[in-house]
Parts: sequence; structure tokens; C-alpha cells
Amino acid sequence: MREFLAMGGYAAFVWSCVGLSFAVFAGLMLTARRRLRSVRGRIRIRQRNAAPDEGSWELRA
Amino acid sequence: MRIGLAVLRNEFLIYFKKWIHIIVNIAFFIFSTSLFSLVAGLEQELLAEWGAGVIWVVALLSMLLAMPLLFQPDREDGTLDLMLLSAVDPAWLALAKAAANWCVFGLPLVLLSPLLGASYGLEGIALLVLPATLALGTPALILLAAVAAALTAGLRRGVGLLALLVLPLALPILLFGVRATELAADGFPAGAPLMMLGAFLLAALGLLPWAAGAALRATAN
Amino acid sequence: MRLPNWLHKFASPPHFYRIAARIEPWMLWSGLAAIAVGAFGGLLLAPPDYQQGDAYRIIYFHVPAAYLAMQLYALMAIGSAIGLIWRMKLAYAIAAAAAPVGLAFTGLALATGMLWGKPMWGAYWSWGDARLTSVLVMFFLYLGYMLLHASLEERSTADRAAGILAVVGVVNLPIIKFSVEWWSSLHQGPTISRLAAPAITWDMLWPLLVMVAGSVLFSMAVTLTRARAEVLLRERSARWVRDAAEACA
Repeated sequence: MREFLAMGGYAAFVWSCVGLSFAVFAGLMLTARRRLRSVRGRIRIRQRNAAPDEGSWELRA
Repeated sequence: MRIGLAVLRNEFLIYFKKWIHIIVNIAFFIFSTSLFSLVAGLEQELLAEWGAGVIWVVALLSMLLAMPLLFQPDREDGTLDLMLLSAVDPAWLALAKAAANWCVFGLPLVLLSPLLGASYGLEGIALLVLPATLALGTPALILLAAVAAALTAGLRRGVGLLALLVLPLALPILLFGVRATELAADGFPAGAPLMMLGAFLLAALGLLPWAAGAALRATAN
Repeated sequence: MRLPNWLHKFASPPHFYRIAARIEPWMLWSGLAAIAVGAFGGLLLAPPDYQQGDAYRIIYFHVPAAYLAMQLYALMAIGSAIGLIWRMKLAYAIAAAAAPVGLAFTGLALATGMLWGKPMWGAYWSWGDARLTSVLVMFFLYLGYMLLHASLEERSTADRAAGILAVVGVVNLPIIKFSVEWWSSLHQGPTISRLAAPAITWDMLWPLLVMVAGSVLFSMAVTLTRARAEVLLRERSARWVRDAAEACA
């Protein structure tokens, strides 16, 4: 186990690459989801605010 | 074509009215290159080695400095939109404007470069190759910058973004221009990189006015 | 030239939105599973390299990132080109979605490349290496695309303008690569003996392939999620968007 963690003396380089990569993977996943959620939220808010004066858009469609 | 020439003539008239910009540009070029040589210390060998690179980089920056003049005034007062509404191909429009811009802001750099090269200790054939590289490279740079200028014409303080868009794309021209001068300074034939620069220029002339025209259309109001 | 009809049908935003939502979790989880398997195989099962020792294991993280940096740039440029030629909103949405993902992978490729360079050629950075320099240029092209897109207020203008930039950039990238190679072949920099085409054995190769495949799946899933958000923004006033936004809170 200790041998595995030491990576033949290159531990700092190898493990920082591993760490960075997983940080990027996690970051991409979270930011993408958050973006979709926030866009949906914004559209919902817009829609609620717009609905009363716009009349019944269901009828128009 | 005839409309292109008319645009060209008009551009010249406008630029000569704004002659202060031309002086500022030339002064910036001369002073920035001298600044580098002052900072680098007075070792002659070091200066000769760096001369081509410094002159090229400063030439690139001083041309970028003038780029907002290309489309922004015309966009702001609506001239550009009128021109786009007319039957003129926007590619010809972009080409004519870029050509005028090069004559006013690029050509002086080409003519001044042997002088600055000499002040950096370049000698002999290198003093001919340096302006030759600039003469081939700067028109291609202007065309590249014209695309970026068209893309950012609507932005208030777009010059920083413009530089960010142009600099990575300008890398090949810069590398070949500097390398040709270095080869000539070291006594090697510099024909190959010069021909590459010529090829870049031809490709730029063929493709970039069209891209700049499309960019003008895309960002039109 | 016209696009075939089936493509138009597929590219209709509501259809894309629905299909993307359905396939996206599969891609995401299978991608993550493959990444886990590949990382396990690369870090534990693969034998150490006889020249580079264990440092070569960075390859399992560097190569997928570098590969995706290029692929996503291609996706961004092709999406932009399709958008410019056929005025297709969905293509722009995909291009805009690919940019931040590509930027992240390009940054990762640069960082892992530097961390690999230090033990192998003694320096984090070498300007003589054409690959490093052209990846750096690509990083700035991604950045330029995103900044231009963000600074133009109207979305359709931003799509077109940034699209032109992406297309100009993709034509330029091979030229940049070539020029830096030519430049460094004349400037005799430090002799770089990285990856002097060693015959890579199957034990070392399979985790790499699994890793690349997993990363591709993962990045496609993330790009699809972002593309869905971009589609919603571009179709804000369409009826299906109201339903979609209401349906999944």
C-alpha cells in the first residue's frame, strides 16, 4: 500500500494529476447541472411574472 | 471594385484628418522599441539577438492599438449599417478599409524598421530582410485584426478583447517574421520563411476579408 | 446545399431536449464507471515503465484531457459552421455548450502536461515543444470564444460572432502547430525524449483506451446538459419551453 502511494518517488506529480483530474470532472458535472437548473428557474420566474398580463397563452397556442 | 476604391479614397481622407492618430502610432512604435533596448541593458550582442523579436512584437501591438479605428467610428454613427444595406459586398468593404488602415498604420512601421533594426545592431542583409518580413506579415496581421475588429466593433471598450482574439492567431506570422530576420542576421538564406510569409499573406487575402465581411454582417444592428 | 429532412427533425429543439435528457444519464454514469475502471487499471494494474518508472501513469489523465481539448474544439467549430451556414439554433447551442467543457479539459491537459514535464524533462514548461504551445494557443482561443460570446448582449449576435471566431480559429490551429514545430526544429532547445515511441504493451494500453472512452462519454454527457440549458435560453418564448421548465422542477 505504501509502495502504491509513493508511486516510485513521483507521488507528488502523479497524485496531483489524479486530484486535478477528478476535481475537473466533479466541477464540470456540478456546474453543468447548476446551469441547467438556474436556466429553468429563470424561465419559470419569467413565466409566472409574465402570465397575468399576457392573458391565457394556452388559448393562443 | 469601383465602390471599393471609393471607400479606400474616403478612408484616406478620414485618416489624414485624424493625423494625430498616425503620429501617436509611430511614436508608440519608436518609443516602445527603444524602451526595450534601455531595459535590456546596453550589451550589444544581446540587443542584436533580440532586435527582430522586439521590433516584431511592438509592431504587432502598435497595429492593434489602431484597430478600433477600423470599424468602430462607422458603427457608432451608423455609416457602417448604411454601407451594409447598400449593394456593396461587405468583404470588399472590409478589404478596402483594411488596405487603407495598413497604408496609414502599417506602412510607416515597415519603412521605419531598418532604422530601428540598425539601432539594435542588425547589419547588412538583415536590414533588408526585416522590412521585407514586415511588408509581407503586417498586411496579413491587419486582415486578421480586421476580423476581430469587426467582431468587437459594437463593444465600448473592446480593444482588450480584440487583442486577446488576435494574438493567438497571429503567432505563426510572428514566428516566421522573426525567424527570417534572425536567419539573415546569422548569414543563412532566409528565403523559405519569407515565402511562408508570402503564402500566409495570400491565404489571408483570399479568406479573411470574407470572414471580416461575415463578421460585419453578424454584428450589424 | 440543404440539410436532409431527418436531421431537421432531429434538430428540432424540443425533440433534441427530450432525447438529450433521456440519453444523458446513461452516458454520464457509464462514462464515470469507465473512468473509475481506467484509473484503477492505470494506477494499480499496469506495470511501471522501465524508463519513466511510475511517472508515466500521468498519461492516463493527460492523454484523455488533451484528446478532448481537440475534439471539443472541433465540435465547437463544426457546430458554429453549421449554425452559420444553415442558421440552426441547436448547432449554436451545442457549440456554446462545448466551449466551457473544452476550456476545462484544455486547462487540465496543460496542467497535467506540466506536471509530467517536470520529472521527465526537468522543467514544467518548454517553449520548444509544439504540442504544449499549440495547446496553450487553443486555451486562449476557447477563452476568446467565451469572452466574445459573453460580451455581446444579444444572443443571436453573440452566436454568430463567436461562431466566426471559432471557424477562423480551427483553420488556424494546424498552421500554428506547424509553425511552432518548424520554429523549434531550428531552435535547438533541450533534447526532448518524451514518449520516443516505445512499443506500449497491452497491459499499459487498455486502461488508457478505457480512460479515453470514459472521458469522451462523460464530456458528451456534460456537454448535453449544458446544451439543454443553452437550447432553453434560445427558445425562451416557445411553448414547449414553458412546459419543460414547469415539468421538472
